[in-house]
Amino acid sequence: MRDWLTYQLSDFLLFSERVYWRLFVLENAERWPLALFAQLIMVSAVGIYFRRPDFGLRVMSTLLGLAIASTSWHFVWQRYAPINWAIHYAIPLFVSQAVIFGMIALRPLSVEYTSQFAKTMGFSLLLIAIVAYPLLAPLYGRSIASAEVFGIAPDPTAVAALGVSFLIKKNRWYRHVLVALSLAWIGQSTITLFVLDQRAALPPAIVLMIGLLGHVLLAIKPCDELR
Amino acid sequence: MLTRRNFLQGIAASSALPANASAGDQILREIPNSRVKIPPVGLGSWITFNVGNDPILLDACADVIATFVASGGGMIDSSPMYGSSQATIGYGLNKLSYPRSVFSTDKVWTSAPKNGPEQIKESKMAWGVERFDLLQVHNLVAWEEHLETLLAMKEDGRLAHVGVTTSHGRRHGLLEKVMRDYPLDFVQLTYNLADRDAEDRLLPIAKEKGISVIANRPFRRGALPRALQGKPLPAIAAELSVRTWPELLLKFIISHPAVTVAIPATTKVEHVRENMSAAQGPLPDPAMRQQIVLYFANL
Repeated sequence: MRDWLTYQLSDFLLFSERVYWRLFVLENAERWPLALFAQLIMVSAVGIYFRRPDFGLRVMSTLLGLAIASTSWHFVWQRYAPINWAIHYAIPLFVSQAVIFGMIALRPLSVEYTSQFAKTMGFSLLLIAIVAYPLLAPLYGRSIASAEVFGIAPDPTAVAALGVSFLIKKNRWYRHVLVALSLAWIGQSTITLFVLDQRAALPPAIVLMIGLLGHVLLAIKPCDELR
Repeated sequence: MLTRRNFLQGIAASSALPANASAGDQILREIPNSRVKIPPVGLGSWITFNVGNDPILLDACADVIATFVASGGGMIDSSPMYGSSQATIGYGLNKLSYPRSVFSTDKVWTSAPKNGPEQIKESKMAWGVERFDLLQVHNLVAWEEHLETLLAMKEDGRLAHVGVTTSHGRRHGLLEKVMRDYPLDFVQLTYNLADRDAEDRLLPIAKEKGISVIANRPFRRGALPRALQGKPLPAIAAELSVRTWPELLLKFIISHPAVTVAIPATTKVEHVRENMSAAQGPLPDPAMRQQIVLYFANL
């Protein structure tokens, strides 16, 4: 026990910051056009949501299911896991999320209306995932080639998943599971980035706080069914 | 280092004596149990060689390995714990056609002892070697069972040397017991100018028992050279032909009579050259070592 107390977070980090950001450079170079399509479809789905919420949510869920499955297989499993063996343990997390979004996309939905507060939360997080996340690379002085893009990089994909989770009715069990899974990934990213470069941990830490606070507020808010 | 290539050619390659062992003023250290000689500065791979399948970074690491080998380097150390580092070493060695001067050093690291042999097999595949020069029980994880496996491998001629490791000054009590009770060839521990706990008991025991010592974290993962950057070297640095702090830090470590080899890790070719230069020229004597300790303490 005394030995464990001597460990620091950095003792568990197996790779350097340079290697970590290079993962995104390589992934973007290989998959760039796909990400553009994913972004466009997500923006379109948001537009659809405002006219037909049920169908919009299904489109978003379909896209997220595919994006999560693709990101977990292509980026996490094939590119990230070789430098971080511990990340293998996160794969079931991604599979569960992809399956749940697939389920939401396929099941005959009654309209999943949720509160205005939840919608504000959800769309704010989607905005962060799609618009803000790719801009973090130049903001932190890195090449745009290493930008984290929704549908390619796991962090913005998880943030988008968190946002869409807030659009699901609060009494659905899978909403809680989706929020918990997204927060778990964003939490581990926050810790990883904190050890690599403290400043880079700020965005996921902010998202983590927003997600946690939003989920708690929505859980205790009595009038969730308000449109 | 025994590779697939030279194994198939029937070459018995158990010695790690570098090709230029007798040339120049390169210092060599003898492993008491086998009489094999290795240079006192090796190459670690923790973090630095964990680059995944990035082709640019793989080539950069291969350049580091090539420079290390060209500078007369011997021991390269890795572990299954170090992500893709083993595969990176295999990539670099393959580019060099597996030089025989490399003293291949790896570890077994699994809390399930029954998985040890399979993990060793995978490590050999990652390196592209048939046999390791040294295998160690990493951080004393499941050490009794793994030591049994490694000692049996050595007995069968499938392994040249056996050791155990620890780092950050952890579990020194247990390490001392293992050193006393088992026929170890090597022990790996943290020893540097700022972490000198091993001087009290472990290094004297190693000397007494004829156990070779690998000093890990010689630069405290780069923190020591960073902290010392810009600070003047002590006056005796000139006597030792030392121009930089990393050279002095390494000379201090390898000048301890019980230390066999220090294993700094780096991603930079120029750092490899700088590190290897510590394995040449005069080493500090006990009085100089004391001066270095005092100078460092007063900085």
